[in-house]
Amino acid sequence: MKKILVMGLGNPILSDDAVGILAAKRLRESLQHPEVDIIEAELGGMNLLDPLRDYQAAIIMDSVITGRHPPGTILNYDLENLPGSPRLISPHDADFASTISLGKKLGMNMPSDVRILAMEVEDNITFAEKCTPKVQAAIPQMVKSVKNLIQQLLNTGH
Amino acid sequence: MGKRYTIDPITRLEGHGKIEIFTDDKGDVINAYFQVPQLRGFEKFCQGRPVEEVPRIVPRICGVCPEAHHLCSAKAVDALYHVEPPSAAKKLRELMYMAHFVHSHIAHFYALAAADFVVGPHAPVAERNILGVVNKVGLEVGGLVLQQRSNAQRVQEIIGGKATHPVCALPGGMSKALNEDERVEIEKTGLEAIDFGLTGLGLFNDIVLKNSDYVDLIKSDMYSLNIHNMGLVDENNKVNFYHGKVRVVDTEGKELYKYSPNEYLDYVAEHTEPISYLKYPFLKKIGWKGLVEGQDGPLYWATPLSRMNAADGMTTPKAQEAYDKFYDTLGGKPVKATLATHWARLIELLYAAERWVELAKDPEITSPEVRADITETPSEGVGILEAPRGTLTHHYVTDENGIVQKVNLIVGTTNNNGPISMSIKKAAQGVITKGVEVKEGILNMVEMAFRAYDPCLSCATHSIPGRIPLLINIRDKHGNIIDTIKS
Repeated sequence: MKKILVMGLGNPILSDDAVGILAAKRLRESLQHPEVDIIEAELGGMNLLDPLRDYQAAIIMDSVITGRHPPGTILNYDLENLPGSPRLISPHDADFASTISLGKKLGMNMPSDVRILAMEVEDNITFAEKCTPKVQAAIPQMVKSVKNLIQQLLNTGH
Repeated sequence: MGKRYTIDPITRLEGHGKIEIFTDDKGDVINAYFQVPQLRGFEKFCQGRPVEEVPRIVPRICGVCPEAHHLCSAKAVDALYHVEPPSAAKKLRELMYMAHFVHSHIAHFYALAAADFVVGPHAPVAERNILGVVNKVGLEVGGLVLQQRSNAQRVQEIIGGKATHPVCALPGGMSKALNEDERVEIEKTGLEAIDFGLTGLGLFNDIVLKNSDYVDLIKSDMYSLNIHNMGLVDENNKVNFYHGKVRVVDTEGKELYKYSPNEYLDYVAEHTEPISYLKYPFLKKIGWKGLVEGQDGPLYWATPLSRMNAADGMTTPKAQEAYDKFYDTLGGKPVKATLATHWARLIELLYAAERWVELAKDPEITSPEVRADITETPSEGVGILEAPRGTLTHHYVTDENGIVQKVNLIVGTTNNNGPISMSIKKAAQGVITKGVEVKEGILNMVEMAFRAYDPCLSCATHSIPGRIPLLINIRDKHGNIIDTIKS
């Protein structure tokens, strides 16, 4: 088993939606650790199964619009408290929690500890290669948060 | 007092995907609309860029069907440069595309549609998902689902250069040819895909068709729609996802039109309703008459079901056999049962797998001749193909240097905006009446009407891959919330 996967998710040409990918890129520039792999992915649904396989722990960085926090706020979730009510059917594919459960059910080595860092964003429906200013300004904080999380996971023996 | 029900399937992203159901003073449904916010600014994003970059940009429009956008864009750019790709290049594109169809249709059926039938439309929400399906049909099928998706992904990676966002198609052809080792691998996994396609139809037969309640549900009036049918067909009017002309067959099964991609504006127009910012495409020669059914109506659907209705058959033997059984069981052509779209999708999955093997065995598939020279001045081009969710159109205009001036897209789901609203209305009318308590299971029956279309909500890559809550606001006619139901 490998140790920790950090995965930045998003669409690089959809304004703030790129934030997970941008944070992963920034993290790679400032963190090199033999037990931490950092990737960027424009994936969803069951396509997330393969990258997650064989890691003990995973941190996902993504964007979210809850409408309850100012843009740039960094929110922490795990598989139990992902935003939204507990419905398990996604528009096109299995959702994240089901995907991981499905992998486990089918005997794959899935991460036992999955953390999600999500930044509240403002605009994820306009095609553009730039984030909105508040979101752009919060990327260093996202990187700092993920580094703290990585340290916690390393300290707990992952 | 009239009520308004709002079904918001993905409230974690504000404003994404919503169903509005309006009732009259008696509590009966009078209208329903399906609404999704559309991504914006795509034309502006493309303007001023060299058009050959566009096929590499469009896969990011949609996380669920990047290959469809890539190849449709490539077809538009070929037309714009007045260049015909070599035969081997067209076959390679189609081969990659068959793997994409298999990949996409597997996800929809097993992760989404199957739960309604395998665990049942009224089963508790927590069980109505792919885990519930695997619990019922067994771990072996679950493993196969993942393996077949992975195989299809691999084919897309070999030919497309990248597994999810292909970069292979260029104006006039493809960037690289296929080698023999790759061809052998693709043929082998294609044969497995055929077996898996048959497994899917076997499951559908055992679980759905042998259950008379489900067959009755599929055939019921609340899940039927009497509108025209659109689909791409080859020169023999057989289903084709990549090549050919658009054929429109009417509610009685007769051909209304057959046209080339560059003629689409003569046949399809878009109407805007005040209730929604969505566009409702309709058949231009008939003219807009509202969201109405019937032979005189202007609406068509563009779905796996309409593709089969619009064609005279399939070109591959096992899919043709399944096609015949489909129409024998459902009472001839055209089939108007919305829920039969799931069955049609499984038949298409089998066809795509068979075509995948045919193309992998084609001696020309490893030809190094995969790119034609470009000699003409670019101007304007239209590409049309069948995306998994419906007919996809890309239309570009450039200046003489190939710099993008105008872009127009009609994506699969957009064709179905009108039909989806109508299907929701009919399903809602079937289950929501005065005196019936509107519970989650009832609303799932309404959701089933739109789930058959697998509407693209532009959300697969740009959001937390989280759970989908269902929120229903019951409002009085002044818009005040008087009750809220959460799943």
